[in-house]
Amino acid sequence: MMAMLAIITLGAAACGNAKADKKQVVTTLAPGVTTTTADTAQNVPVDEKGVSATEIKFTSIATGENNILGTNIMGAYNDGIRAYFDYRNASGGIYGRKLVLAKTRDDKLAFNKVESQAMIAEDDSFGAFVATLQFTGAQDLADAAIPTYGWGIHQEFSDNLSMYGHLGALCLGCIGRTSPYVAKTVGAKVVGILGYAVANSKVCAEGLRDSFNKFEPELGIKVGLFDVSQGFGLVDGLAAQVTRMKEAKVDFVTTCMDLNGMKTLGDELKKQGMDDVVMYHPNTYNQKFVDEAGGIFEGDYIAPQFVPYENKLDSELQNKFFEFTTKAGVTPEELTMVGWINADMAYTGLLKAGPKFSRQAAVDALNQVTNYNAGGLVAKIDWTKQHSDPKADPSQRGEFECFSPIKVTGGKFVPAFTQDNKPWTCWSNETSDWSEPTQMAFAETPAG
Amino acid sequence: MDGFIRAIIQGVPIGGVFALVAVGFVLTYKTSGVFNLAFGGQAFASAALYFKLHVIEEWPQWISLVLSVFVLAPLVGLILERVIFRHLRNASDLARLVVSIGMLVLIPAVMKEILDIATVVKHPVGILPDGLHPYQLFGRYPVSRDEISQVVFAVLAALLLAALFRFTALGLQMRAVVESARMTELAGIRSDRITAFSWALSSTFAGLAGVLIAPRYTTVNETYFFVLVVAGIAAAAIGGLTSLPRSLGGGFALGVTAILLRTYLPQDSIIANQIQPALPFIVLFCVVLFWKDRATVSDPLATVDPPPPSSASDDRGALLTWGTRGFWSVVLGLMAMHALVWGNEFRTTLYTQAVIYAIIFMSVTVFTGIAGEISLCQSSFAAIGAFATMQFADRFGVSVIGGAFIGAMIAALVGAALALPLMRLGGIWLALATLAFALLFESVIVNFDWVGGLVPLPKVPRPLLGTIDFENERTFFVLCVVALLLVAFVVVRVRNGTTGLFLTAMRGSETAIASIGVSRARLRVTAFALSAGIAGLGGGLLGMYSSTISYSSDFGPFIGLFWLVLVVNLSTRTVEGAMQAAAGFVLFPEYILKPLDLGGAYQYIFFGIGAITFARHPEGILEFQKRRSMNSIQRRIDRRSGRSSSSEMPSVDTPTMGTTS
Repeated sequence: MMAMLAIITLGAAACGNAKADKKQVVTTLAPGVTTTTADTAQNVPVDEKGVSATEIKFTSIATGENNILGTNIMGAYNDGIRAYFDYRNASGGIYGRKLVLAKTRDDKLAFNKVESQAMIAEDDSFGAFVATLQFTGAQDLADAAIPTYGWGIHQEFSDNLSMYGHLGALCLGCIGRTSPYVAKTVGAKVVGILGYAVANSKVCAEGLRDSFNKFEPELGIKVGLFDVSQGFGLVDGLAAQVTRMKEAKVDFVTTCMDLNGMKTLGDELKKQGMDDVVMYHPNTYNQKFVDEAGGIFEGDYIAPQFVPYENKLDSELQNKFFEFTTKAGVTPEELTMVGWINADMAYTGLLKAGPKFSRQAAVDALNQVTNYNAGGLVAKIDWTKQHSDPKADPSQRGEFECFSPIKVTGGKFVPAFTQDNKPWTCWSNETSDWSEPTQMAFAETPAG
Repeated sequence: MDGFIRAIIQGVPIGGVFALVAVGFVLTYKTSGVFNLAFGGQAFASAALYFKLHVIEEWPQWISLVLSVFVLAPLVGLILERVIFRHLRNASDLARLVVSIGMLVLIPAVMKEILDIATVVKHPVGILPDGLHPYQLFGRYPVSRDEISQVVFAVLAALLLAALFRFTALGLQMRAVVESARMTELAGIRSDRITAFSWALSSTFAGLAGVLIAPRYTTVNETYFFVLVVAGIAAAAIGGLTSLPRSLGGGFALGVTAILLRTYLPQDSIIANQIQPALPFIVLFCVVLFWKDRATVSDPLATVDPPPPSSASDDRGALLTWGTRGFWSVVLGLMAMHALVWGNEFRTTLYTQAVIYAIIFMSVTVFTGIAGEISLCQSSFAAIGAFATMQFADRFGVSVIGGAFIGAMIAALVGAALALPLMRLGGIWLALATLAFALLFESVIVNFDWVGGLVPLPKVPRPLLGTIDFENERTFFVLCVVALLLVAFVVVRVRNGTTGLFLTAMRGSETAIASIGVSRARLRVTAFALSAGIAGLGGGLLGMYSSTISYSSDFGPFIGLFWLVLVVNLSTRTVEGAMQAAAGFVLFPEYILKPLDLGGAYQYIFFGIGAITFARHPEGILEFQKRRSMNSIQRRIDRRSGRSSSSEMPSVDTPTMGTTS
């Protein structure tokens, strides 16, 4: 059998590989693309999938069942998209057509690829919205050139020009200044960094460690504990790690863990009398979750993936978000805003493509936008380059590294560093050296 | 010294929970011979009910505790024993294991449907109010109320169990049943009642462990309880699956060792980052491998099985054989036409997946169907194939088809290498060792850059053969069909050839096969390597199909359990059984559940129910139905042709595989 396999292998070795690099190459503008805001009432016949004389249909693929985080991903995300479409449809939609979330698909965690393929096969939607815990159908959606807007927590959004994560391409493991800055702000001297023993979490934690090490001369903050030895599920807890932190006099902890990990860590810090240690959370922007945690997150910093709800801006898009979610009877959760932002990306692409839009035109048009910011709700994204993984190609980083954190104060979320209606704390990416940040606000997009 | 004491204090509570699970395992294994993997499901059931009643509905803690741990848990145990496992007393290890895996999937699915707790943003709490409140032990070592309750309940349970065994008539009867159920019956004791009580008791332990450990998580999810069960299995293995005190000690030792390692291993070292997370699996693997009294066999005929019933296809006449072949040719031809011509691209991709899984499932046909062994690490072999394909194509520029065959060879080599230390193991011990390997693979090996640890993972390209670009879904489908036919040909040749006959003979009696001069070692290595190679080839194709390898959703250990149960449920000894299992795995959700608007939980519910039917038809439900319908048709053919009926359906409930009670 082995010999047979060997012979077949030698024979097969002469063969080649098809499209080893499946990057989409979309370089030319499709007919009809304009770069100026068009008359949104102009209804001209368009021959495109999911588009009729009265509607532009979209499909969402989200994780409903089997969500191990226990949060409401699918419901909240779809609510955000619908609220945005209600907002736009209230003023006539676009190009004389209503925006419609026609189908919602639950990938049940394990069926992302199947649901993506099913959507492609039906081919009755103009674009796709994706908010899932795994994104195994990414390549299929990219190959089908379906404009795809999604919860940008996956590396799969990178390198596909028709895919748009709500934050631009992720930079997992890059040197960053946000965590060190929060540590500096709270006067920390020794930091603890935790991650899971799985590839993504490890790489993220290594990025944090490298960042603190790089800025140690300027900030005087040392890494007291770096631990990526815990299996997912934390079956034997974090007691030993917290003890080591205590011995190392850690006064600030940052992690690449999920809600479960943060809760376990908070409980253990409290138990070992380290309540005063500040935690910086990558993903605990959930008021209900924090309320339920019984005060263990008090004084902690959390980085939402957009301007937090508590930070009221002079932004039409934010005002409309509250107005239309309230009208729909929706209590905003983290994914509600992600859905809203993704819907705005889709709208922006259509708007800039012009009345004779097509999928390709919408993609091409959005890819020319150099300052997409969802009416200031996300930091500036330059879609001419932020499709690519910046770690692999540093020239593809956005102009700024920004965050808009909140602090848990009295159990409530309070904007942390905002000044004069400028919610974003930013550094220029021209250099990755340490510098003091600048408070910024980003201009409205044409869509907003 | 201070650190040492602290580590022990920190490790004892979680060790207590491991100990509870381990004791529960041993109880059921000792009294009914069932290695009950459903323990994770039972622990989840109680934790979920407690969460629903106390946290969501805000019932008082004690009522919620009584209902979830002391009512629901024993009830689940009793139902499992009375309805299912009681009838499997004389069944094979495979049959019992398959049914317990089915229950591991079924119980959480049913509970989730009933309780509707999936998206509730509330945190599980322990059985004492303000469970996080810390006390200072000896004035300096903090322990929370939840941790105290974990230790107290574990110790209490152990003491009560010891008292039960030592001082009560019931305990004496339980010990007697363990020694010999038949002898106990001769003394006028209803051994089945004793066994039922043991199940109820062990299920209570599972429920208690579930409720005690739930506060460590932010949500009640069955995935976490599966990890708990694996640690419990390791502790039970320390007790040789039979010693309650040693299992109890094993649980505590495991919890304490984990914390000691975290306390003293150097930070960010390879041992700390790669080996430490895998501690329970390493312990399980080593214990299974090196513990001397693990394979104590009292029954001299325990390893002697009568040959399995012949395949349904062996009993039919020539006319029916040709008719059957014609029928299936037409069906497969129509399916191929649907995939290639009539159906849209989505249908083609579904059929492609089914074809690839059929290849992977044939590895189960070889190892379990032909060789009669149990492997719970087939998904790891498939993953090896997938990652090797990816790495060879990406790093060395090897053609992806070449990469797939190299991947298959590497998987075969790993299978062969794994076979060597596991040579002396059989039955449940082999299953445990392979499960430990699968878990080790997941927590250690996958994370290496040269396997699947790169971020982002390189994509697996589709092949290009001359001018044929397999990027096209329909051409890729054809390629996969060709691979399937090749593998099916190899499997049929092996099954009908000398190796297959020897493997079948070894399945019946290892002693007998050795006595005629055939090397058991060589046979075992061959079976492992062939099966792993086939899984590896399938994994490589799955990688090409998916483009991006998703280890957790395509190759995780739990998926491997699912595959095994699915294949043996339908028909483990035939190539068409593997194909039918693959069709069920891929097409059932799309063609049955979706049109009926049934949620994903129903897939697991049907799967669990299927596992129960396996207890009655251990040759596989499809094989059983096939045999029945073929016999019926054959009788009609014989009647029409004026011949007396040549075939009667043989009993499939053989003493070793089915029920005799």
